[in-house]
Amino acid sequence: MKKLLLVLTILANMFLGGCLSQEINDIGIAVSVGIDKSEDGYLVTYQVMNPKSISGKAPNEAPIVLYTESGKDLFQIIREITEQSPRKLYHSHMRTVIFGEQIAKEGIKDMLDFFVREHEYSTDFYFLVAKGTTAHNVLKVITPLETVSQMEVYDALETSEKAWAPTKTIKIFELVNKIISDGDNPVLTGVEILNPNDKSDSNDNLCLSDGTKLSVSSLGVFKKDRLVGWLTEDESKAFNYIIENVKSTVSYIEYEQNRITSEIIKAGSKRKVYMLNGKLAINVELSWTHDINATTGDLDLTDEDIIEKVNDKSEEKLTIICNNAVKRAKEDFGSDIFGFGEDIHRAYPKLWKDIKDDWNNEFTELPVNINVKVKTNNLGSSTKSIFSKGD
Amino acid sequence: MKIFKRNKENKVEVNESCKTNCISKDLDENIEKIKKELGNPSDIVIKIFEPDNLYGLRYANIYIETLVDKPSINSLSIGMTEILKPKNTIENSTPEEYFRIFRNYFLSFRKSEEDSDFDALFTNLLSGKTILLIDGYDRFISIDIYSTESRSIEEPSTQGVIRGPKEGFIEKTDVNISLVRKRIKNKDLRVENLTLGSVTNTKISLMYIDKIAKNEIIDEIRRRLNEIKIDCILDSGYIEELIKDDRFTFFPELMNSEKPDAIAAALLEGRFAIFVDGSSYVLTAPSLFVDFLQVSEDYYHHFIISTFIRVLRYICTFLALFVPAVYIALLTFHQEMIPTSLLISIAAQRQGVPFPTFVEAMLMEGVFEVLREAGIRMPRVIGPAISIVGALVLGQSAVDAGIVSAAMVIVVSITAISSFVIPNYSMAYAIRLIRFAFMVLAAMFGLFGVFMGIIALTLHLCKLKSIGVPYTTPIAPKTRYGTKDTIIRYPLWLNKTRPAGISGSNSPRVDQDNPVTKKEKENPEFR
Repeated sequence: MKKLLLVLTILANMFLGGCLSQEINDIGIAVSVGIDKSEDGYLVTYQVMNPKSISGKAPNEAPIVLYTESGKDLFQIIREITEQSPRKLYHSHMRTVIFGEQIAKEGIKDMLDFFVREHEYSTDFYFLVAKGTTAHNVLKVITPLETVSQMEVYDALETSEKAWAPTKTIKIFELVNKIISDGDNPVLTGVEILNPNDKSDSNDNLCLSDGTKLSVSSLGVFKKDRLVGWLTEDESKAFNYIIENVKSTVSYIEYEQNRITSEIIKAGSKRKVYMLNGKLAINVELSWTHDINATTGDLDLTDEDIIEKVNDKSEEKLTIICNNAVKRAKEDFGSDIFGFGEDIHRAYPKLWKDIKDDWNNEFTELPVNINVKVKTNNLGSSTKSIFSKGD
Repeated sequence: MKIFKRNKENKVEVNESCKTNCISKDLDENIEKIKKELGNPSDIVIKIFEPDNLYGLRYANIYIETLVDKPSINSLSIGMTEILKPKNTIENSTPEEYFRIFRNYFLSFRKSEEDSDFDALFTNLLSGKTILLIDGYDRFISIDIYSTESRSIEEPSTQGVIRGPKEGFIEKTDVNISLVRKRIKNKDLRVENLTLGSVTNTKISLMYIDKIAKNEIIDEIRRRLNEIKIDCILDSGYIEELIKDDRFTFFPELMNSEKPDAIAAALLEGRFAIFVDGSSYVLTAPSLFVDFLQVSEDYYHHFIISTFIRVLRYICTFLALFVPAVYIALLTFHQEMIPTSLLISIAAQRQGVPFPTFVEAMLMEGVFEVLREAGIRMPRVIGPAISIVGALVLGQSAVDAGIVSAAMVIVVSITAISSFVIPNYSMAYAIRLIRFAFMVLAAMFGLFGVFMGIIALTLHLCKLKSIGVPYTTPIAPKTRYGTKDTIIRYPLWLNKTRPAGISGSNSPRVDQDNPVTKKEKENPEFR
């Protein structure tokens, strides 16, 4: 009897796994989903990989296939797409979610719950905003080298965040946390179409040496869940300096007809909240270490006084761009993207209770004091400039 | 009658007088009976001697031509006529006195026995001994002049080595025992014989080293061997199947080896060895799971190299067991676990493949098993044909035709090559067989099923015993020093203990300090 029961249990188990399995050639691997505004609600665009083309088996086929459907409900639209797609869309390998600029301006809140809740999505994809265009237009571009455009964008975003500061990757949980937080606002990197032409959505674009490309550059500032504007490249960098999100970047200064380029190898940021005459103020201490990468002219960099002056000049420049960024956030957007509100929350929790409801307005009045300390670490492989007149 | 007898050279065994089926005193009657019982085969030789000078003495020399050494027969006959010359004998002796003369003479010859019943006579006769019967006396003497054709000692065909002795066992127990004996010249080496197989009467030898082997284990194996009741023992595989602890498991519980040095090493670790006449595979036990992933060569190379190779073997065992199952599980259940670029590549390959991954895998693994079996059974001359069919038709063409994906061919190849790394073929068979079960589990439940399978397999392995010793011994139950010689091969000078649970001895195996002192290392003039 016991054995029979055991056998029956095992047999019953066999039917449990059944419906979960799906063959790899029955699924369409979705790389990206773009969400735009349409008349009746959303216009959802799926970018699906065509593995045959990507692996070179059918080089004439387009490497990506777009499925577009509009409707009122996000999940319903996604299922409706099966009308067009021969395969079930598979979301676990998704790289990016792109919001059209229009819909980003109207608010993205209603869409986010779906990405958090739906079990098929992993949480490692990045959110982007199509700058000056629709998500659909961005997704249909076939980019050279890495033909699946969103794989390219994903990689470009990761490398540019590491080696060039003005972008910021943001995943679902960070995005949601920033939206629901009272003292913080999200920023999303913008994706732009460079060099647009009418062949950009066909394999012909791959034949052009200077065809259409996608670029991730500046940051889009959100106030809560609405896009309110774009930071310039310098401001985007400054933003990353202040939130201590710079691993490495490049900067230059002008010093007496010389241009000195330096690579920042360490960029720290310490933020401190203090009370000044009964009013809140923020002190941001930026500490910078850079290597000199290149100079023009005949500056003798081995001279410690000159290095000292170069450092001073860098501090000056950095202070200006950081102040500009803060000023723009305050004046143009009225959005505390730096998370100063959270600092105050931690430093003065009681006081925070009174101001948190109107924080974005309070923020415009908040004095932010930026101090920069720059240190030169290394002069690179040579000391004096190669053009310097020797003694 | 005692079943076990010590091997005693040049000593006549005197057995108690017979009770049933006795030899009569009449020589002719005895010869008639022998002829009748054996059906008067063409290769039996019965020589009746009636020496002229000794009136009344009739004796017969009976042997089976095909089992004996011809030169020995000649010298034996000459010797017998020699001792019957007048100067050696007293005239008018009774047959009993002649019997004693012969017996004393044979003492100096070869291994001889005397007995008095027909059962023993037939056994001796059919074991290649010559029988001496004397008219008027109801006992016989048997002299061992057994000799059959056998191949010479060659390199083992299944257990090759790079470094180490290349001798392999052959199908003759005497030679096999000598190969081990010459490696262990110790008075404690014990050899016990018994005959098994009610029809074949095959000679089985049990070998162990007294004081190193555990007495309980030796008693147990003696008991088990004595309980074997079967008509024939044609290979050591019979013994293995009949005495193993868990009859239904296909994991080998007795190690088989063709290499005398491996057997010697096993004996020195406290195991016993079973030699079966007619089999070139010698069994040793207790053999544990980890033993099947070790080779004698491990001890002849530097310990770090051996450790590396052992780790490699464990990895390969793991691969042979799980690669197809994990591949199926990933492709049908867990596509999110495959890196995107790999997924694209696999998806592109699978484009147009008509079968589900599981069917595809079963098909290819099945074909591989067929190829492997065909490779063993086919006549040597058509070997190249099989490799062409296997490599080209089934590999390349199947992919080109779009019936299987290239990735699957790679998976099958990895599995196949990994399974050949497992040094013991019985273990490799077991691993290959379980692989199919894992594939079914993976196809039904994905990685969940694979892990359930791993749990079940672990439970099963933990349940097994080899002659009473838990199969997974040095790991679970963990023994204090056991893990020194499992995955890691400890240096000889540090591996002082014999495996716990197997050996009954705890005397250290090595007891020395480093002979190269620090002073010698520092002194350049020394060299």
